[in-house]
Amino acid sequence: MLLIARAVGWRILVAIPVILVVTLGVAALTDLMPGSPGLAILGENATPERVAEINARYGYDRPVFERYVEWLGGVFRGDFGTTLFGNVPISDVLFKRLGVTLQLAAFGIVGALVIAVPFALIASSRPGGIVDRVMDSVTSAIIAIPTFVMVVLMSLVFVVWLGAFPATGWVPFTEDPLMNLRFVALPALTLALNECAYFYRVLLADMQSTLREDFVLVARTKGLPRKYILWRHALRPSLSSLVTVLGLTVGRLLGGAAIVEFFFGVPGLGAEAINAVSIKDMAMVQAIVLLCVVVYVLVFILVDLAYAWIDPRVSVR
Amino acid sequence: MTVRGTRRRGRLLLPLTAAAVALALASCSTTDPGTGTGDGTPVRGGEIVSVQSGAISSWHPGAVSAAQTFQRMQAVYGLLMYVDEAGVVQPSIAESFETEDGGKTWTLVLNEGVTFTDGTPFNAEAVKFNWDAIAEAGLGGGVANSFQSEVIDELTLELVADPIDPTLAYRIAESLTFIASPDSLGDQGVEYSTPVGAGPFILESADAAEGEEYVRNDDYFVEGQPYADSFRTVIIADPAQRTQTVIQGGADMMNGYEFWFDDAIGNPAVEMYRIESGGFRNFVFNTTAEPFSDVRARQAVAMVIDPNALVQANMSDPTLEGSTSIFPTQSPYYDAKFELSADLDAAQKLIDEVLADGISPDVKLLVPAAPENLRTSELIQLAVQQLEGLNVTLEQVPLSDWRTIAFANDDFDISFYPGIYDLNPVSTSLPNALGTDGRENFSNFSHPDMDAALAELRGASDEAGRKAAVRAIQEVFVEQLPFVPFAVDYRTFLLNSDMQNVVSVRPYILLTDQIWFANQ
Repeated sequence: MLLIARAVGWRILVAIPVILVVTLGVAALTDLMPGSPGLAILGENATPERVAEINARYGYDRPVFERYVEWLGGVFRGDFGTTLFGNVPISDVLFKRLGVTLQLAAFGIVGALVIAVPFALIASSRPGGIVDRVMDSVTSAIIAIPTFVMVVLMSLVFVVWLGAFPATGWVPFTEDPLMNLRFVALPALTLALNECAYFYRVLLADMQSTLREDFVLVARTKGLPRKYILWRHALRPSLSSLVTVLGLTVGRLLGGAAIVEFFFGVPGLGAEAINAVSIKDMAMVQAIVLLCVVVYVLVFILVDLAYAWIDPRVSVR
Repeated sequence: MTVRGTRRRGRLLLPLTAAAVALALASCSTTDPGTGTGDGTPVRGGEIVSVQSGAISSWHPGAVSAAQTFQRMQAVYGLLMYVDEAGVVQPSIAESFETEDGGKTWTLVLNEGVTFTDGTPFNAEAVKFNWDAIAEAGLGGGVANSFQSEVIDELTLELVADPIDPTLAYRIAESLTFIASPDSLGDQGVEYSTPVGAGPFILESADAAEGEEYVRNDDYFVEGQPYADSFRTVIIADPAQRTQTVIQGGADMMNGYEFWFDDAIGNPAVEMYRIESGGFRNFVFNTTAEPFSDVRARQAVAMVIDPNALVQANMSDPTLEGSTSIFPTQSPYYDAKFELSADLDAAQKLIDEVLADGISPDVKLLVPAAPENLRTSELIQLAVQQLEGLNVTLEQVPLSDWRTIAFANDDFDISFYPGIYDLNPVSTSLPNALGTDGRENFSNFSHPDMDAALAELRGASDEAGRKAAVRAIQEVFVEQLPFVPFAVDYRTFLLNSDMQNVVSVRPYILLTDQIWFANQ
């Protein structure tokens, strides 16, 4: 336990400079805008007085380091500032959006695993069989289709042709669980399809390698059933690559599956990021970037811990 | 079903069944569409849901940028005055806005008894406060800086335009029609986010990603209105998804182009409501270079184009009909005698005469690159190539460079114009488009008869005078043809078919106070 705590603490310590560099970089980007941030926000027709007022209000007339230190101080107090228009605390908006993205990402990842893992097990146990060949083609096709095409295809099939799901919209789970499921189904299915192809291929490769190991041969000669061997012996040692890909996917989706959220009108972090960039709400952009970096750091801490669980021979340091 | 097998199977069965049930419930069909129509008597109740492409960025009354902003502001602020579908300015919260000296001095009279939702009076002081704030903030397109205002009494404001402006009513209806409570607005600029107006609805909550919710203003100045209990916006970026949302019943209205609404055709749950926007689509001649420096060449080309084919190609809609008038049929300036007619033989004769005079037969057709522009330009090319002796080459240029190449450098003979010409208000738009020094005279057209007719228009002090001047302008136009219109522009709304009393005002929004729903 102490070892794990030390390992986690070390990783958090190492992540701090990464977080600082990334967020400082975002803060510095505002100074690279042509004109001033105030002019970019108000547009070319704004009076110089108004531009100066906006710059003063949001601190854009101060040096970037001074602004950054003040922002950092606010972050430690849980104060990310307020939105550019509306003066709503950014933390309120962020956590609301994060909840939506968490739900969407969770459904998408679970869905992807539910599809990928069984098929990978079946395909690996019968190489060259019908499942192996069909999934090879299907996953190739899915990987070849970019997300912005996938969302349109899914909408065409499930909304326009079948009328099975609503085109857009969102109802919070706490407000109406059933309606929430109705609205999350199609975006989650889209995400799941996107990700399951990668999960399937990565797991299949590792399973095929594991199934050639001597201990599997021993299990077979002992007469153990194939399914038992697959689930109890082969799956766990084959998970390391999948866990890595899973970590990358979780980090990416928790940063907001922007295209899916944007297309299906899901009010998550990705949609908020697009909106913040379009209206030049730099404080919101900075907060979202910070959140994404922290999420990635936490996810990869978990990934490292997962390696140790998968293979007890691996120790976490 | 008998559960057999090992305990391992049983562990999977329950979650799999639960997932299947959840999915089945999730895929249940959407709400049934309403049927039938109202009997004409407005019915209270219901919620109007409008789907929009993005969030509103500022509630400052001067920060009017697009239809989606206008629609929301109409809900909260109401309209001081507006431009109706025919292009005529109508008062709303204002009782009247008139000039008796050709546009130098204007008098605004407000309706009595109107209040903002914070209880403060909607009076002349409030209007002046807003307009002064807009002028100071540099908003409103500069309109607020083009006059001085003075409060005469509680309900009367006098404006002095500098320079004289016979079109001030239009400009105010388009840019200065929203008035916020001065107590609420204060000295805030574009960051103003808690709007208080005198409109049919009150903003209750706003979310930049989801949309806004509004509740009925029970003290709205028109008794009995609004009919709906609430108004809501839903933000969806993709136009196809917006369309599907309306079709499925997730929203009641959206505006857009008709070719977005193909999936709605034949669906009884929705209806399309089409409005002539007041603008038209056209292609432009360079009147300072051969062959189109010769009016006969321009007339010949106008006689061989098929406006129906052009608009159908441009809008990807085989049902559309073209038009060669610069005014839509609803406009008070429309006159059918100014529509152009096709005649290939007469056109060929004109071209033969032109070429016999030694005029260059080479025509460069400039296309701002976009699929719909190219489709339309290829049809123009085919039409012109019917005229023997002319050599037409088509040249595509990036859209971002097109204006420079075509109009700054005059490097074209014909060019498809990738936008809409809107000739309202006529007093400023016609001189801009057709006057010798017109800012939008892309054809470099100059004719003394046209300039004389435009001078008559500028000097006209009443509608009769304006109509006579516009008639004279159109007579010169169809003779000289600096550009050739081929279709009026339409804006189309996709609406819940239960929606009644749909009234549209420019810039293509619906009056939310007047809408009611049948089949409630």
